[in-house]
Amino acid sequence: MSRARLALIGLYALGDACALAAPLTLLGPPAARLSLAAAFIVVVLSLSGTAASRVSVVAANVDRVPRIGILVGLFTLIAFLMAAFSGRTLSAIGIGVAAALVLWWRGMALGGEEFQPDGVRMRLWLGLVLVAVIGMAAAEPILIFLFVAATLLALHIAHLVSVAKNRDVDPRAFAHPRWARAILAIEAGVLILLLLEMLVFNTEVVARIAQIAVVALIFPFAVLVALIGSLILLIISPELIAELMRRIAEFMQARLRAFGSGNGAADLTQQASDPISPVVSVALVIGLIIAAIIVVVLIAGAARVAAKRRLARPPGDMPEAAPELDAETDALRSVGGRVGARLSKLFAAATIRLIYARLTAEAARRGARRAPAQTALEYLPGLARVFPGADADARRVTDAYIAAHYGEVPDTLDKLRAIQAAWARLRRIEPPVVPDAAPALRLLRQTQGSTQGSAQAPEPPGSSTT
Amino acid sequence: MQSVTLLADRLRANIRTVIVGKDDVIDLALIALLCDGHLLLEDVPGVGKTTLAKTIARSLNGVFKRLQGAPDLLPSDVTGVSYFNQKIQEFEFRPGPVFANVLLADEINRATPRAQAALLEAMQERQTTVDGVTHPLPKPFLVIATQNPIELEGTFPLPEAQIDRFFARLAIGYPSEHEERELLARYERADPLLTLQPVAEAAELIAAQQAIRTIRVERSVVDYLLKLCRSTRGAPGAQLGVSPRGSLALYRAAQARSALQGRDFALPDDVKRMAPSVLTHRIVLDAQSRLRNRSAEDILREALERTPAPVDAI
Repeated sequence: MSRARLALIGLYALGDACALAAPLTLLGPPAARLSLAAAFIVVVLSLSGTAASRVSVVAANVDRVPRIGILVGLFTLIAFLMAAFSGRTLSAIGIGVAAALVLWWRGMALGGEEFQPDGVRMRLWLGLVLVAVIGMAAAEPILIFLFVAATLLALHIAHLVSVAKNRDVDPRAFAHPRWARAILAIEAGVLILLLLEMLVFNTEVVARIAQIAVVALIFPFAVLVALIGSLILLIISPELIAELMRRIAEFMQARLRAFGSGNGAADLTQQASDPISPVVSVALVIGLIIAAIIVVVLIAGAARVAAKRRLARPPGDMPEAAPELDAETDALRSVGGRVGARLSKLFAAATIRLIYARLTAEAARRGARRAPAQTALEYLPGLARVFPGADADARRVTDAYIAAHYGEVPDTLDKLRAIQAAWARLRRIEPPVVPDAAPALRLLRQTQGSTQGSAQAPEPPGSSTT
Repeated sequence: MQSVTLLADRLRANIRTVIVGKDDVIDLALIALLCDGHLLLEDVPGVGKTTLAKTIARSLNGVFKRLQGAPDLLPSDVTGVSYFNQKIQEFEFRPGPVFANVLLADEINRATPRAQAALLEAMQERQTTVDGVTHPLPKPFLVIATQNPIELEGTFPLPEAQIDRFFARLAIGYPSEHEERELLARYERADPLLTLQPVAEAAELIAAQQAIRTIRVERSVVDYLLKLCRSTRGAPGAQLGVSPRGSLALYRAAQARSALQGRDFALPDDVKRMAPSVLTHRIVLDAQSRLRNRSAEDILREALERTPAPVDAI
């Protein structure tokens, strides 16, 4: 068995432990429940032990019957240990055996897995959601970061193995300094994020946010589980499922009670005793946002510097295995690029809509107010009237607005710049000169005054304005 | 969306070889066609209702049948009949003219209500039931009906339930002097309808109908459309407002108009432009409005003026 495969199994087991350890703490009666750390160690040992055993017996070319005997024996051992941890009631032993079966089955699967880079990448994305939910429910954000760190490392190793297999090169990471640097940088980035998170988010805030997340995310899920459980109960009605349902209900009630009492941090983390003041919470959230902005700016700056350096480098200076080694970075960059492009398009659309709203406000100020039932296209002649000689610009802004509001977001930022320029030109246009009616009205009044003696002519509405 | 535009351009060009002018009417008819909706052509005699219907029908390479409305028209003349075949000693179904891709129901208001009702199931459910057996109709299935609103003697006005099943009601109107001159010149030697060739296959039309449904209608445009339709219900002078089927028809019509204009998203202008053709025949006036000579168009115009358009403002 190669060391790379063993490392991958270990990392996978570590990642799975992040997802499975928290639910495992619910196992057994309250007195016998596992702590999170113990559950974590149990999962890592069970998964990696089972996987490594499977790989070893297959590699050792053991006959089929003894092989099955060894692996089933392993399951029996895990089940025995889990049942022992679970307490003495029949239902608790049953739950312990079921948990052992899950761990054993997953370990067997890991022992047979090929760990292709694509599969590992998929696990990273999908697993993040699961681990984030479980991590927040257990108020243990470290689970999320541990999962990310382990899976990223697994991704790099899987990629390295894949490249080594395809290109017949040295599979040791440190034989490729550039790659090793990338791995170290990413892992260091994860650790820095973890530290930042610890600084900005203290445990109490994490617990409070976790509570909200529990209510928002887990509650519907728990209802769904309860419904499915009820259906299963209707069909087979075993004691075990009733027990499981009861435990889930207890778990949810405890968290909801904690949330309702406003002292959830204490219940969840068993560390804090006083509720956090709202002012401190707001300050922490603002601090977090500022920290996030700083991190984004730093990352963007670093990416720009790296891009400039890459462009400045002569073409022959690239390492030999660059295409494969860069594939992963390119994939990550393309995801980032897509998100960035989408955000910039949304920004462009919002700006165009704002420009149009300002344009209509300016037109209203100049005397062409849009009737509520008028559409943007119907309003176009009104715009042309108050922005004389700028029909094309008014049309351009209106067309862009229509596309941004009712259609897809604009294709490029160049379009936004063109619209901004058109709006700037429109703003500079002087309002059309409306003939001043005051002198004519004064003359009319004088004429009426002379014919009607001293009788005062009524003031025409709006006579004082143009 | 380009395929829809190209198909519409081909059909439009073909129809224009027969119909002089009336581009708006042709476009509205094409929109109904692309929305898989039925058309009611209502106008005075001699303006080209039947010619337009026949031109559309012949432009499509499908089965075309004609049904002439008359007081002696029976439901079985529409749907078909089961008769006892003595040779094979079994009942056999002989399909009526409704089993066609395009059915021209000429002078539909001259048929009796029983015969009109035979079309109800066919128009909405695209199937017909004879002797308890349901027969699906071919796809696409389009009914183009014509009626004369002036000459009412010996006619049977279409019931609301049936009128509502028509996607749009169009009036062709008299041509301008220039158009009438062009008409005389074009028909001087021969009737261009006789030499008209089909330019679209039924499958192409079905594909275009599917494509139309992918046109984006932004939430604010949907809200605008709903407000407009709902404001006709209970509007002063209206006994019945626009039905939900009408809202759906207007939604599709706005999508189809967008496609014809080469856009892949609908505008409030599309809703506004299509509303008169798609909605007015669904509004039923109360007795007072009829006495005051108000029309469904007036009620819709007021609704359009009342409904604020979804445009951003500061």
